Amino acid sequence: MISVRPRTRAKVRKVLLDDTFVNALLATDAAEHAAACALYRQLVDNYERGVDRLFALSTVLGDVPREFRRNALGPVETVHVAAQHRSAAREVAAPIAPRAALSMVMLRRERMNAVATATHEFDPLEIEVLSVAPRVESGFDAPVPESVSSGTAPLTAPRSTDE
Amino acid sequence: MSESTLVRADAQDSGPNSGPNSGADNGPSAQPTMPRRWPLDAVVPDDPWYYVRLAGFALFAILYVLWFVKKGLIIDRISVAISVGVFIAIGHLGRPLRRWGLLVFDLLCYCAMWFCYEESRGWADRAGFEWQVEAPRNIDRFLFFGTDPNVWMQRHFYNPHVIRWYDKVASVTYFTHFIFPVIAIAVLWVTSHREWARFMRRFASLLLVSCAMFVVLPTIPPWMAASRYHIIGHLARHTSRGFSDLGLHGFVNTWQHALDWGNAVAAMPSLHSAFSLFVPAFFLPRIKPLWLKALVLCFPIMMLTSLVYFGEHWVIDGLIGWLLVGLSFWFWGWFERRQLRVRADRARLFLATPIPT
Repeated sequence: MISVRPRTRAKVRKVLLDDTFVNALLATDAAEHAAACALYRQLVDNYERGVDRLFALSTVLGDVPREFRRNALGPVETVHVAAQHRSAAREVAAPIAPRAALSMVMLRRERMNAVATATHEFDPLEIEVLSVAPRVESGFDAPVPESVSSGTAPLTAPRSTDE
Repeated sequence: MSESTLVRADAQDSGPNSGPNSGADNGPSAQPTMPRRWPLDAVVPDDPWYYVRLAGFALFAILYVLWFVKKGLIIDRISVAISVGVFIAIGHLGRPLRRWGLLVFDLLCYCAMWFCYEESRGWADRAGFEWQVEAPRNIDRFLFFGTDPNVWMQRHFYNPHVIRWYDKVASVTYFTHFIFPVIAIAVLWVTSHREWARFMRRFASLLLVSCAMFVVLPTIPPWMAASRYHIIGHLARHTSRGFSDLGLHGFVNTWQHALDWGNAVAAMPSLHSAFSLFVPAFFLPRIKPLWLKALVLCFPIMMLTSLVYFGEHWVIDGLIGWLLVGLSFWFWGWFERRQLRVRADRARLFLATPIPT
């Protein structure tokens, strides 16, 4: 369930906890709750050792109960989302949910190199994905029709204005 | 941008590294392909302000060098603050308003810190604590088996008629005090607010303790001990000689005179010496090669040697400066590790507790 790649670099890893991961952590009835808690424990251990820094978007943390924010998410730093980030998220060249697009924008702007998530939305990206979502067999291999593109579908090829 | 018409050229490859959806282009009967991972910058649009900031930094660098060549190295506090302010403002171009708000708050704290530092020089005069005249000399003599290191160095190396290579090296080393910490602060401010805060905690603590010592323990510098009290042999003050010989000079604006609370009896601790260790020590964990670490740590030794040679500080002033740097790093390192532990423990405790539904 949990896919954590071994790290050999000594550099501090900046991990974004996306909304699906925070939701899975918070909702005890979520299917990924146990896996999310297990991964989060590892991340907290790394945080204590100064190996990982944990982040979440202000839009995500704003919806979290205060007690949960102060205690369970105490190690998590807030990444403040501004209008310019939302505007950039609308221009993300991939048919994905706006919240995932916003996470991608913040990943790039804040130079984060890993994302903890409960989906497979970030799998096609060249970043470290710590996913607690059930593994999708042959997720990349099977062609995904654009009409059924959903929040959990792999990204299509990025598009640009080069042409 | 129209998604139906704008497709990356490399996404149309039909090779083994084709994009995740490339199979869709080839029809449902296409062979399964290997996954291809996309860099974030291929998916997320560029920050247009990034290039504006880069151009701004380039322009700033050119103007700074021109100013340095034409008018001299900026060394007075207000001119330094203005140049740092411009640099940081460039680094914040196109940033969200919240970042600007944070910057204003930081800037106020930063100015307050320097204002207190400058004011403490005035307090030192008014507080009326007894000047340390012979004590530092005696400690230096004890450390060097009865020799006055300042006098010994000038007797062996100083020639009033000749400027040797080491005069230039020592002079340049001395003047780096006005640049290195400021550059470190400005660069950290622009690149990482968290690292800037870590730096400033240690820096402000060092300044605070140093100011307290300037007030409580006013200590005369060696050149004053020689010229006014005649308790050691003659010393020449020649800090800028080598610097001038290189065709360089310092830029001090006229407002320096209006704000000049200069305290000549603030030898203990030596901030020149302290800052020369502080900046390398902060960046030392980022330096990998051992030889480079050793080389970097030679800089504070060079600085203290220069200060002693110029008759600006006693050796003990420099050693106390280094000790304060060590204490500041030790305290904040301990505090930050404790913060990490406390937050991590809280998170673990909360995770172990069942959440009431």
